[in-house]
Amino acid sequence: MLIDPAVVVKARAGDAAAFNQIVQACRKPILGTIRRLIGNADDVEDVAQEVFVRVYYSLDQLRSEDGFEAWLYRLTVNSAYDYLRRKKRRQESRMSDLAEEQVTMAEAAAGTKFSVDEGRKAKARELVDSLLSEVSEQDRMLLILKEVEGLSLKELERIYEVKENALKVRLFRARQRVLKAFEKRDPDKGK
Amino acid sequence: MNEFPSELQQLFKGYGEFHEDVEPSKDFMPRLWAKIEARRSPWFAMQRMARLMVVTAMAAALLMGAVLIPMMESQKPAGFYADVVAHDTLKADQEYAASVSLPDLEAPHR
Repeated sequence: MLIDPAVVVKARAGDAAAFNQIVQACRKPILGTIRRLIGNADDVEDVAQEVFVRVYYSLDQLRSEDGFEAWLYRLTVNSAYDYLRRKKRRQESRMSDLAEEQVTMAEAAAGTKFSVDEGRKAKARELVDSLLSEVSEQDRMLLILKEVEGLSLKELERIYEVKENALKVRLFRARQRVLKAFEKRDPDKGK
Repeated sequence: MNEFPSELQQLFKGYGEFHEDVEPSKDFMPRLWAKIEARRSPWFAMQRMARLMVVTAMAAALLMGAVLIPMMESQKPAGFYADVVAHDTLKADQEYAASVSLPDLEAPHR
């Protein structure tokens, strides 16, 4: 996802074609990131569109064109987090609206056995989902960005706008919780 | 712990591949522009302003509460019921005394 800074400058000046170019170049990776952050395929596109609407209306707040990608990640993380908060509120008021995937996650967290027919990928995904359900939404997103998306601490520092040490502490605690949950599922593992 | 054990590392690295690729729908761009235009409308601006006003009013109410309640509390005499009654009686007496004008003692008596 490499965006020419000149295109960002044009988009910031109100050039619709340049903005379209940014969206075309970034939407696929952004859709993938959102998919992993929110864990629900149905709403991925809506959240991605919210990200790009925010990009459109806050491009003038971008301090430097070189920092566009970190800034885009920041907007993505914020939009995904807002979505998860809204969803949580809805769930609290209407438990019957739980999506099938969330039920699976909840079952996984409760230690329910999966059916043997499920594929290896689905099983592994559900295992990661259940492990991630042990940490807060913020830590879950941080872990996904670090461990799944493979972002460096420097990149995370630019996205979250916090010091590297604070991120290290947060990551340490989140990893510990996940590891504890992993060991609980199978005491022989993680040693 | 700066890293996960290798088994967990692999599991997390593979997590990205465990999800199928999400392809943007054909109407992604038209829908996006429709949303952008919708936020430009006066109705949306009014909604945002109304939300802002509600938040401002709530913040002002909280601030007033935080400032005024301690002020009112500090004006009340602390202590037992008898102290409170005595304080109020004294205050009432002072107000009564202030409202009564005494005759000028220097003036010659008739």
